[in-house]
Amino acid sequence: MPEPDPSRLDQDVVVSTKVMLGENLFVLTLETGEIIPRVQPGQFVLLRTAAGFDPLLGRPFAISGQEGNKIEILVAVAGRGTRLLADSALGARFSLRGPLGNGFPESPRRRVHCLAGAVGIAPFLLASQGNEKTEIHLGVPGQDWEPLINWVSEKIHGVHVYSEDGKLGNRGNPLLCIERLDPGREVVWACGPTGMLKAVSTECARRHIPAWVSLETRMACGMGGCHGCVVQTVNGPRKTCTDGPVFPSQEVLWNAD
Amino acid sequence: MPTDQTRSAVFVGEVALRSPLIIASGTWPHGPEYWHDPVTFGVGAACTKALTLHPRAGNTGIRVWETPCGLLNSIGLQNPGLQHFLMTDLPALSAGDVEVVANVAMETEEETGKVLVALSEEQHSLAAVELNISCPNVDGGGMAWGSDPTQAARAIRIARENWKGPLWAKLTPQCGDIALVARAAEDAGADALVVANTWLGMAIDTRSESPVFARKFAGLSGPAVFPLSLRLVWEVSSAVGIPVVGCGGVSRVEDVLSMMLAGASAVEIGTLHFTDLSCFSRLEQGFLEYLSAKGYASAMELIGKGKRIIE
Repeated sequence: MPEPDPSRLDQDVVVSTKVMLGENLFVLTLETGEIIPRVQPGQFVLLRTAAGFDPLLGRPFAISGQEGNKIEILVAVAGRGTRLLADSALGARFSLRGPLGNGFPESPRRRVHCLAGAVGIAPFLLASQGNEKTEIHLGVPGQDWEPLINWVSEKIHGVHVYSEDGKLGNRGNPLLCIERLDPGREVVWACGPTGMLKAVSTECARRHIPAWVSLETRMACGMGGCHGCVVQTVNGPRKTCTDGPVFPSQEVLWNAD
Repeated sequence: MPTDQTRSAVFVGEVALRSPLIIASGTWPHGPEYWHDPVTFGVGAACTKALTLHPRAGNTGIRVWETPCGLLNSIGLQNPGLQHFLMTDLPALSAGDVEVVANVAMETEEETGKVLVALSEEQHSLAAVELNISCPNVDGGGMAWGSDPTQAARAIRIARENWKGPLWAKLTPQCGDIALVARAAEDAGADALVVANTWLGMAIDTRSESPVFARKFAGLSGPAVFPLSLRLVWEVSSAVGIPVVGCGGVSRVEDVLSMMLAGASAVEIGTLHFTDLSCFSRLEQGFLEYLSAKGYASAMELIGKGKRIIE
């Protein structure tokens, strides 16, 4: 993947649509001033949610869609920054840094199983655009998440849905699919809570399925300057922002820290 | 009429900078693409990440934590060590468009001596060495080198013996009377003082009901600390005859001006560019507009001007 051009990393964006998928979950379409390079599934942006200095830092969001000078992100309210985004009006202007990081590696000869935990679906919406070799497995905590499932299902046909109580889709979680995968022909991409990614890594190792995971860490600059977002790996500390956020699952030291 | 280029130029001792804005250590990628215009428009010099003799893995656990208008960090001097810096980083960085200031973490006397002897071989590629004396003196009880005048002087003397080029000492706010530390550093041979490093703070995660950082305390930067840093710049520049470089929370044109009026010859900027890479060109533009509007021929005329009536 080519190095990003730093002089074009930051730009202002305007909120052009907002679709609520529940009280604390929504989809934002952001219009950029200039067309941004083609985004790889797994790449992300840092979005600043205030004009002043509080909150100070941008918040990382995987890009879920791209069309012309518009990108789409999926936001779950997690704190003050995301609350400000939720409260933003159409036409609101924010500053954005990105696209950042390395996405999932293409594997044209293998079928890709995308395992998503709730909002972890974001990069896979992008991945499935025009790609018939991906199969999506989406797990959600409970019935509150039905609007997300409906929204995803409008975009992608044949999504496998899982919920712990079985009221939406299959009972259980996306890890259930790993058991039936063919180690020679299929790979796993995963995005979701760290606990889920760790479990994916363990299961895929047991079954010798190649797996890549998209990690989320606290982050400041997003460009490899501050070393604030490192994860411990078998190759030493690596930066989530520029070495990741997607790593081979076997590279991550899941029990470090 | 002075041009913008000559108007914004400053000297820090004998080091000439095209602009008084310096990228603070530990904040800027070493990727060569970040050391060229137009990314570095408005930048006079850039400090490298802190350099140590051997590679350092840095701290475990959470490393950054946002506070209102501020950022706590506990990175732990992660860097690939002297050899990697000399072989890979420095050749690329010195080919860029800004002056390179090598930030050296003060370790043991022996380690720091070795780093500086090696850098001396590359003096032609470096505008200055910035010695970070906020690090603990492992041989001397673990207190930061810069925490008292005697230790600070000792650190500067070791550096001075091994590095003949411009030597800047980056002071820590975590000391008793910073004016005493500053004078001791000046007497020991520092050519300029960077005032200052981050302010020690902490955060508690109320969900886990325990400290956020593995090392409990962490350094606070960002707009929240600006008035604290400005006060130190005033105190230090009143106490010494060598140039002072302001550092801590600069985020607006007014902050650059304030630091210089308080006695700084230049200012370092770190946290601000975490969200805005155009901040240097924007601040320089505003700075130039101010100089022009006030009829200053040179940025140097501002330095310490805020003291003219009071002192």
